[in-house]
Amino acid sequence: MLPLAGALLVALAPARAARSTALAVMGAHLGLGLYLAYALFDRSQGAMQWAEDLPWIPALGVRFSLGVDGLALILLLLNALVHLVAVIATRSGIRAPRAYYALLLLLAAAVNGVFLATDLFLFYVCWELVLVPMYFLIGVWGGAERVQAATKFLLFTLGGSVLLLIAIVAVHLSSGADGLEPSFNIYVLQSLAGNEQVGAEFLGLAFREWVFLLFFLGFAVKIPVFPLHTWLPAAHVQAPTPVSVVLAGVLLKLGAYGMLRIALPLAGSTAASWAGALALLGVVNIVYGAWVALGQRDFKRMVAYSSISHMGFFLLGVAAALRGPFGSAGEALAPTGAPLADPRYDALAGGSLQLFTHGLSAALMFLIVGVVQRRAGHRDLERMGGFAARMPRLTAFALVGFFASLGLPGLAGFVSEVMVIFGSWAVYPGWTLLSCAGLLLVAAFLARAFRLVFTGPPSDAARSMADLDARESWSMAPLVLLCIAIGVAPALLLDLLLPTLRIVLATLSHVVSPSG
Amino acid sequence: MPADFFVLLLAVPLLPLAAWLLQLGLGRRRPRLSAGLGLLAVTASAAVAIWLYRQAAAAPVDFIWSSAASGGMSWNWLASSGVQDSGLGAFRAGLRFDALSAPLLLMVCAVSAMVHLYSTRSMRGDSRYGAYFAGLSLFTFAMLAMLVSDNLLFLFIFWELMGVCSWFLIGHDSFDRQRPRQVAARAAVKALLTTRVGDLALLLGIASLWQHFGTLEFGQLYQAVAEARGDLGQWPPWLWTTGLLIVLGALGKSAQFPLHVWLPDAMAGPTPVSAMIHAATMVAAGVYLVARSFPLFTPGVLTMLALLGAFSALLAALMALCTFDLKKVLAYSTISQLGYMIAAVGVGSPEAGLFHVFTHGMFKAGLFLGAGAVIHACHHQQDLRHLGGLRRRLPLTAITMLIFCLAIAGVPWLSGYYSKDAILAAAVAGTEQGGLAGWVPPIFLLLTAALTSLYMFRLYFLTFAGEARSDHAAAARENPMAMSAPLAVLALLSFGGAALWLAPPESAAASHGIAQLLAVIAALLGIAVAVLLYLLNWGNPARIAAALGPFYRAARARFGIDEFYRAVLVQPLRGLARAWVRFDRAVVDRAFEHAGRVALAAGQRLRRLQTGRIQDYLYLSYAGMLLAALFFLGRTA
Repeated sequence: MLPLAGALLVALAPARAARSTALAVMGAHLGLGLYLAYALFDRSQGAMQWAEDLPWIPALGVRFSLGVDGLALILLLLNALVHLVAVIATRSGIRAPRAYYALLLLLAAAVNGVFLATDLFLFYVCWELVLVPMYFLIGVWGGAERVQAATKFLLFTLGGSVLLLIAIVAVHLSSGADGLEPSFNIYVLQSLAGNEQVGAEFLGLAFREWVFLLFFLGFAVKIPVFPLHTWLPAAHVQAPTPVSVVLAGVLLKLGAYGMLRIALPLAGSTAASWAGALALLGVVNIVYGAWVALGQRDFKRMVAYSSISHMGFFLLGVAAALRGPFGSAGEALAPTGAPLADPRYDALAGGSLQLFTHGLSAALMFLIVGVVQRRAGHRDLERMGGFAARMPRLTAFALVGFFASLGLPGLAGFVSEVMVIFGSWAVYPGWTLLSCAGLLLVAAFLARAFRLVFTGPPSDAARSMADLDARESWSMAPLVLLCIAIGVAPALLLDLLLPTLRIVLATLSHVVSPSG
Repeated sequence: MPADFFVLLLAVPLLPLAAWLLQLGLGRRRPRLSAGLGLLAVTASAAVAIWLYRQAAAAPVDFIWSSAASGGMSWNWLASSGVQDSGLGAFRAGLRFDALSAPLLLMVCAVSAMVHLYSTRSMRGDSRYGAYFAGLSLFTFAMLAMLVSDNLLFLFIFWELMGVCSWFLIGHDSFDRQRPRQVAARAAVKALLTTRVGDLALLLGIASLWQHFGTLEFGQLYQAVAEARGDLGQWPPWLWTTGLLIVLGALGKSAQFPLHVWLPDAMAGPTPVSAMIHAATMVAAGVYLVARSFPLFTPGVLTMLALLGAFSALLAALMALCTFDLKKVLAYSTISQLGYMIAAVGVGSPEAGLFHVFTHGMFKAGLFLGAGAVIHACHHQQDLRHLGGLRRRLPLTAITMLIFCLAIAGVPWLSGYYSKDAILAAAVAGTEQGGLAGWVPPIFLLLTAALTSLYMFRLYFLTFAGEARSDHAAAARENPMAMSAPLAVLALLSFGGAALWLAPPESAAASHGIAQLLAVIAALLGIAVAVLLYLLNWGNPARIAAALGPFYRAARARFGIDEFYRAVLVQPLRGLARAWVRFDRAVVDRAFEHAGRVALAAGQRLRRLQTGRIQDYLYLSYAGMLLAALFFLGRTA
């Protein structure tokens, strides 16, 4: 996968053909991803496949190791799809097209690297590499206050990165404690995670707790978790539409992926004892994000806050998976004789699936915002209206986007949210109830926005009300189709995802059980 | 049952779905074709439903045909089989068909077909004719699919789908290309959000059933509850909350107190849509849910159902009596009649509740289509005070409406009589347990029965009797056949439809006779008062209203419930939302900006050598890494 992404940059040599080259490369990228996922990937296995492991910086024990499992695979697919959509959605006549497309492709490659890396150092390098193109994409191609927004984005995520780096180095060094070779490999470190001898106290917290906290804070900025979220609306509002699409569609998932891939396996026992706090933060994200969205007049800002709300379900799912009843799973039988549902499983699967489904619906929503903003000439919800009458095709796509975001059955968001709710209800009934109240707020702000934008008399101020052109339609169509496909047949993704999650859960139980 | 039986069962919902998919493509360019397709599909569904019904009628009353049990047609939805054997991945969905769903399928198809036929004419000239029929198809699909589902998760999925269809159709006029109506948009949002309160509660209820039993298939759930009761010697305590959550879901969908507020506003939709929502789909779903979940309800939950249903029935009947809007009277009457059905489940007779769904579906659809015919003929005049004298101008509408009114009033030998009678018999039988919970439902329901015939005949006489009270009413002319024929068909069904019900609820012999007598007396009493007041004009209704004073005004104002929600829920939520926006900017964001500024100032003082931003961060990273490395090396060494 990575060689391909690397080739993208080379492919940018032709000057005028930047767009078509980018398009071709990203199309091929997605095609290859799909081929890997549905033809080559062995679905019965949850473990890493096609692992590659080459020495890289031997002096530091850094290795260039990659691998794909179900979780990484669906996110790779999402990345490929969202970047392709972003390329399609980019308007011609953009400033410095070569640099723009090159950065976009670099971003795609870096994100791939994050999803593929099984070496912490490599992970970190890719993680940092993501920031650079994003910074420039917002800072150069953004709106009026783009530099401020880009700087804010950079500072927040850098703050997180520093914490991440400290945690990585700490874990690396600690792995050398028993006379072993210090390692950056995730699996080596994971197998050591249960070893509590390393855990000397520092400032009243055990070593693992520090590790978890640092990892968590580092990743939380990206998710983003309240109160570290304020960079997100700022960045979205200033970013051009395709960049917003990538930001919401993929970048937010990096933090979540890091949580699943690194923070939990490496500090599972601690994570379990912090599950309550995670659940609380998740619910705060859900409710607070939705509530702030309800009060917004700025369409794009509203969608940005809806992302915060949706990512809360990921947190809640992870929290419930950590907190769930260990040990009893698989043995208890329901009165009907069927194996009793393991709530941790549903919660984790739902949370992970939410990454994908939110990626789809958020990307779609930002495309819709982009179109509406261009037609109306502004983003003020209360001065809009009448788009349904003039733009039936946009309205049809928007119906899918809004209702996918709302969690309507038959569309993607429902499956993941229901799985989280089913899983967490068994563990945190109170928080789950509150998260449902949050879902009500989600419905409220979406219904309000839809009413303001699409119904009523067309606003006189609108520049043009021409329906979607081909470029706009083609950028939305794949997302719309996938929203429906996954809503109707979630097995398409869950088949890939579930075996991997079983391993993740087994690791967690293994890590957690001995220490209680 | 052979597999091809279930293929046919599946075809009933899938036909409208197929029509919908085609309509999506055709809607705008070929609106007429789109309408035709919808009508064709639902008619075909009806034909299949008739065949299925005949199979069901030949079987013993307590038959249950389940596709999962007979070895075919059962699907893993969330993951392919074998990928996961626990958790929701193991969830399987199939089809179920029994004596309750057979007639309901028939009724939904019939009503939907009539609504389609009627709409081909009444919606003519609408700028979104094609989209309207696409909405109807999806709505029909969702309801039919819900009826054939064998599990609560799929029931919920189609339940939600119905919610969105109703949002779309209630808001139909707000999308109009020429004259978009904002009222419709607001009503649609109100319906969506109010019912969603119940929907989310239902979802949690389903989640707790899943958590405890690991299955959502109806048959297995019934069995699991029975076994859990057997093991514990009592109801599992958690089942009380679960029941409550499921009931909340039904209250939202069936527009029962305290979640009834959306239904009267939903009149902003086109009249045939109201017929759909009030008769065949949506509100019927709530009753279907509680009837299906009946074996899961603890006695406490049932009592609550009975009381809430009876209370809603009476409350809405009072509101109906004080309303002058033709459609709104019918809306309140729907809430009231659904109260009957909910109460029926509460007093232990889910069959009677569904029986009333069945008969009510036919005459309520008729009433709405009839009201639509009146409104259509009178150029959108729907205020009872400005109608009158229409029996001569709209003879067919008048006769059919009379039949519907007699049916809903429960006059003997029309369909409503049998189902209402069954409910009252069950309620009277419930008095044996004594106490408030025993006596309130029958008393409230009987009072409601009297009020029902009173307000229905008030509506009838004000519309059709006397002299025309406006120019529009005076100039009304009978509607074309496409609109009258459905009325005639539904009138016929309101006469004999009750005979089609398959599972006659067992009547408690002693209470049955009393209930029958009381019901007929109540119905006739109501009609008699209506005749005196509105036909013979003895006594002045306005003066009676004035004499009732505050009570009348309260009923006119919907007892202030809408206002209460607005003041206590909606406004504070909105206000707080704006407050949170300010908080987010002024506190959360500012705090970080401030911290950033402090750090920046410190940084500028610390190092003047750096110029570029990116380099700064690299330095910072390396410094951090170095510090951490030194620190941990020191510790581990």
